[in-house]
Amino acid sequence: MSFDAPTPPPTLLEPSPAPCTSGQALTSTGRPITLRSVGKTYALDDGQSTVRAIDNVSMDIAAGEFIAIIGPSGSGKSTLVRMIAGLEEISEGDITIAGDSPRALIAQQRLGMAMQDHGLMAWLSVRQNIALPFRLSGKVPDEARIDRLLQLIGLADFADVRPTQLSGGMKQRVSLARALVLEPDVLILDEPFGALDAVTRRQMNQELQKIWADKPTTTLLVTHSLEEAVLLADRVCVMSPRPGTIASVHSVPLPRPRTLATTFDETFRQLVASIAKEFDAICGLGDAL
Amino acid sequence: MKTALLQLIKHYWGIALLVFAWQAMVMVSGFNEIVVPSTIMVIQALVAEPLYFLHHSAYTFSAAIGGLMLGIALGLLFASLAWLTPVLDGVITPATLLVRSIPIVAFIPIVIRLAGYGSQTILLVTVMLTFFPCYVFALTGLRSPSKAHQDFFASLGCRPSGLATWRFYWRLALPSAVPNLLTALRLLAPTCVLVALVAEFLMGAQGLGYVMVRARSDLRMDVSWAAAMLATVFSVAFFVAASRLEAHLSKVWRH
Amino acid sequence: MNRTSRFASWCIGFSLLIFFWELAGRENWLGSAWPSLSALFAFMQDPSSAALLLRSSADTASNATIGFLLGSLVGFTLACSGSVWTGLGPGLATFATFVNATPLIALGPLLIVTVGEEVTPAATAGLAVFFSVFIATLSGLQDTNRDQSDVLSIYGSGKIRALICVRIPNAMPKVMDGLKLGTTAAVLGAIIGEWFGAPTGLGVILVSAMQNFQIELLWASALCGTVLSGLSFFLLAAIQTQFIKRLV
Ligand SMILES: Nc1ncnc2c1ncn2[C@@H]1O[C@H](COP(=O)(O)OP(=O)(O)O)[C@@H](O)[C@H]1O
Ligand SMILES: [Mg+2]
Repeated sequence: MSFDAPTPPPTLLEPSPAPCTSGQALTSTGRPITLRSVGKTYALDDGQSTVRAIDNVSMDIAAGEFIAIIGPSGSGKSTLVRMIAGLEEISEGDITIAGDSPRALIAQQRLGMAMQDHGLMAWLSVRQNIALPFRLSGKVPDEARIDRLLQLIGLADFADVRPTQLSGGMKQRVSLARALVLEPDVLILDEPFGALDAVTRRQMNQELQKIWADKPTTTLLVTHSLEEAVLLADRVCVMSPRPGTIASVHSVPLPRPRTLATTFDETFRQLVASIAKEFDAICGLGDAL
Repeated sequence: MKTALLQLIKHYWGIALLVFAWQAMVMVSGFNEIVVPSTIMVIQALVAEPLYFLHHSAYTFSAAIGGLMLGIALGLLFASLAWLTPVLDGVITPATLLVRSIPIVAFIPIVIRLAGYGSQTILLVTVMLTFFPCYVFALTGLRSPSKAHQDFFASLGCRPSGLATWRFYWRLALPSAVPNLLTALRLLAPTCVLVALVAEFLMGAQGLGYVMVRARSDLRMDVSWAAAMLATVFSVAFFVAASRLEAHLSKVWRH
Repeated sequence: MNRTSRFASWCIGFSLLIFFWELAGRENWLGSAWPSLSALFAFMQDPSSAALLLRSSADTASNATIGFLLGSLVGFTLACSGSVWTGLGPGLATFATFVNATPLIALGPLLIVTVGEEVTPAATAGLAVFFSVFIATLSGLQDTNRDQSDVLSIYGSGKIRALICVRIPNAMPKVMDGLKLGTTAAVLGAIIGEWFGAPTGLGVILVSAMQNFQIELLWASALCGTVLSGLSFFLLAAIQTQFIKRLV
């Protein structure tokens, strides 16, 4: 099954995020992404067998849109976002980001990434870790922006501490700040909170929304949590495994900012329940037989 | 006071036992004091000629530490080259396997014959000894960055090949190799001292190894034992310092 | 790099090594002290020198073997005693550091007067083996994980039973590694010991060949030492694989 969405869901999209705080002008930053019949086949080490990870995915993502991707393990979520990030070869089909290839985005250092394994450098302090993208792109670190991000993630007092001394949630916040420090045009988050406990996770969802609202950009969030997906995204894509395709897309017509109170909202709960039902069907088909 | 003493005994009983056994042997065995010097005599020998011992200790340890540092530097250099061009690794690794399987001490006489009697030989032997393990440790370290780290660097256009190779090396590969280099330092420190002592022992010109032979043929067993004890103490101190450094930094490096 | 290309580059590396060795020997690049491989093998095939090398190797091998057996026995027992009488623990750790860093040759002057010049090679070999086995066993015994110790304490088993049933089996891989290192250490220790005035052995001909400019003999005896330690290493590695097969 494949999904073609030349007609984006009506209300909230294009131009994206809706009513934000105090008349702050939301310049639509970020770049649009287009996927056309994208497929991925991995060749295994033995040189003969192959794994079909992604099959015929098509999709249009508007500039500044927040997309959440959910699906069972092994349904190809990471593969899909890694192809968009230019970290994985595309077997067939085509991905363009504002008319360019994903590699071009990397070459211009306009991509931000955070993953489940936070990947912080143990030998650098929090501040130096956040400044690293500047160093890697040969620029002078913008200390003011780094300070602002440190404030935003609430770790201003920990600027000179090494990651070893931080808790899991703090490390993820640093990793988020690092992904955002160059104000990227595309932000890719692959299960960034996968290793956190439920309470910290809810806290981090609010943090992420705050940081994102500060400078909204095209965002792809891979997650295992339906609540997280619905809370944060403009659209939620559900993936089915073997081979990985987009089974359905749900738009989330909830106003921003979405607080913890939003999670008790009737619309929210109905949306979560309906996606959960579909999700169970996908998993049941895969596992029960 | 009493607990402090107890702690001391708890931690150092092994060494105390050795000293005690030594003194007991001297008293019970009835060996001539010239053949088996007592604890006191050895300390007296040390105190009598501090400059003599200082000179030879300095000789031994500058050679051992210098060789170790040079070996680590060369090992890192070649590992970095092999990191860049894997073909080079194919040439060095067989030599590594070969050298690892030889008892290096048996080859010291050969190196002396080849390089001549002098401190350059000690340097050469210690470099030979340290180069290959350091090369292996450093190369493993340079290749150790996790997938997450590599992906993060790749997402900003830094890969281990191409234009940004240097940035990848300097900001990721090299820092990742630091713990491995320190492990190499700790493991090789005592071996370097041993090799330096053996070379001096065989060449008979300078250093604590030389003092050990020379004093023995002069029938000054107390001096010979003093040199041996000094070598042991320095070697242990060197090892402990290297272990501390490694333990401290690996705490910083690991998540 | 895949397996075949790695194998190919290793072959190239080895051939280059042998080629340049031979060339350096023939052309005297490194002076007269570097024999060509062909000259070296010709020397080793000569009956009289072969007999000398064989006899010396046998002497060194027997010293190394005695040392290996004694050293590993003492090293293993001492390390185990630490987990029976826990009070010994911290002292054993200090002792291990000390043992790890003591240069073997510094014990020579002590050994020649206490055990005599003829026994010194076996004693230094034994000490060298003791070093590596003691340290390996100690670190292997510390490896027992928390869950396992918890199970042991829940069932109230005694320290000796815990040692035999859990700790020692757990430590075995590391002990085997220590023993493997010990084989090389034994040959090395025996050679060092022979320098302190033993009548025969590889160490003896190494030094006399060095002093008398017998270049081929010098290289040949070093080569014999290498073969000796290589053989014993592989012997133990074979035993280890056998041992692991038995366990699995
Ligand atoms: N590097 C790879 N080589 C071979 N197969 C891979 C590789 N990466 C992922 N796969 C396979 O592709 C499929 C999708 O994996 P992935 O994208 O990681 O799924 P998800 O992130 O949804 O859990 C899985 O079947 C996985 O085994
Ligand atoms: Mg994944």
